[in-house]
Amino acid sequence: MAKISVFRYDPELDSAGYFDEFDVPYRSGMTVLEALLHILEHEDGSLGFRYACRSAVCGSCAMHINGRYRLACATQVSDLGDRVVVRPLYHLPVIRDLVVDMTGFFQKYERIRPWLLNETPLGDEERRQSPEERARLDNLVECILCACCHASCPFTHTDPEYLGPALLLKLDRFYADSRDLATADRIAAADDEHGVWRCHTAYNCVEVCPKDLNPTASIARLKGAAIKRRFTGRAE
Amino acid sequence: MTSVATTSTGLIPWLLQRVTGLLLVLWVATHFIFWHFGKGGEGPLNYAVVSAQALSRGLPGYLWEMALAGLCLFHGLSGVRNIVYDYVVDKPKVAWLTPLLWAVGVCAFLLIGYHLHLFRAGH
Ligand code: SF4
Ligand code: SF4
Ligand code: FES
Repeated sequence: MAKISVFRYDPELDSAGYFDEFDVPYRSGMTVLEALLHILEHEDGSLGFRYACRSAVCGSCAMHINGRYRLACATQVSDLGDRVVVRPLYHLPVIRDLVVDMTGFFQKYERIRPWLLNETPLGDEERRQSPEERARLDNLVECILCACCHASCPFTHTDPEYLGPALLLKLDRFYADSRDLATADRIAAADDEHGVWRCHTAYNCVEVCPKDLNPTASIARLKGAAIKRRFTGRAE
Repeated sequence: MTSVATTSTGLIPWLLQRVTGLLLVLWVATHFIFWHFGKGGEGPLNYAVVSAQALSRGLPGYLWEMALAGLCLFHGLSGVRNIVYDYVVDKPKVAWLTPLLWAVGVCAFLLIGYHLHLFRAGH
């Protein structure tokens, strides 16, 4: 049996959150997501949590598991010791149990325009990149928007307007893209007190990213670009 | 593209915090070299040795130490400002903070300058 302690909160019924304990029949290779699905199917059909792909691709099952932000579908129960404690992501309002409200996160996401900005007309073929140009996007395109980094960053808590590590990494992804022609605007979006200057290089985001990405490096790159733009007028 | 940026502040304070931090490392090192270990280094390092070293540097030494005081004050008070702004993001609410920190900084700077001057004059 695996002992699973799950955060519970229903705003219509509870004045505060609490933990429910469950004993889940363990089988080899069981993930935390599978344990939660077992609880949902056999113990308590009211348990709220998100998931979709079950293969660390969609980012929807991010949770705080045994003191660390992780993807429930990519975390094996056997790696967690005697007891598994599952909480929702921090710094985002809880809707119910393990489900957090991502509205603010995705509103800011939309504001940074996470798509290619290039109005030159397309010819007969797609916009090409050299292998070197494409290599600059390696890793940056791997972000699955799970918000683990956002939840771990101390400043997404103190400054709700702060873009946060995930969105700054996304800005860097388009800043680095040779096909994107809005370089100056990308830098301007980062050059803000709620942008890169809010980051204090605490590296929490780097530590928790389940895809081993480095938002702090992206933030440092954007800081450099902002300084260059401010003093030389060049956006590159 | 409509920028998400609301203001463009943040860059200069961030940069100055780094620059003063870097300069502080150099200044503190020179402070120790000139004032504490500069000449010979025979015998125990005590108040008499350090004050003799300090006085032997004359006006340039005085100005050098005032620069160190300025750097310390700027770096420290700018750090205080950063901490407050991390928690009170509604800047108008703390509009008094920067003038207050400047006033504290300038007063402390003048006070340090005055006492360093007395120290020199007293010998
Ligand atoms: S950078 Fe990593 S932790 Fe942050 S949202 Fe992307 S995948 Fe998740
Ligand atoms: S490095 Fe910056 S973005 Fe990442 S957790 Fe620390 S403060 Fe937040
Ligand atoms: S369910 Fe998609 S990342 Fe876990």
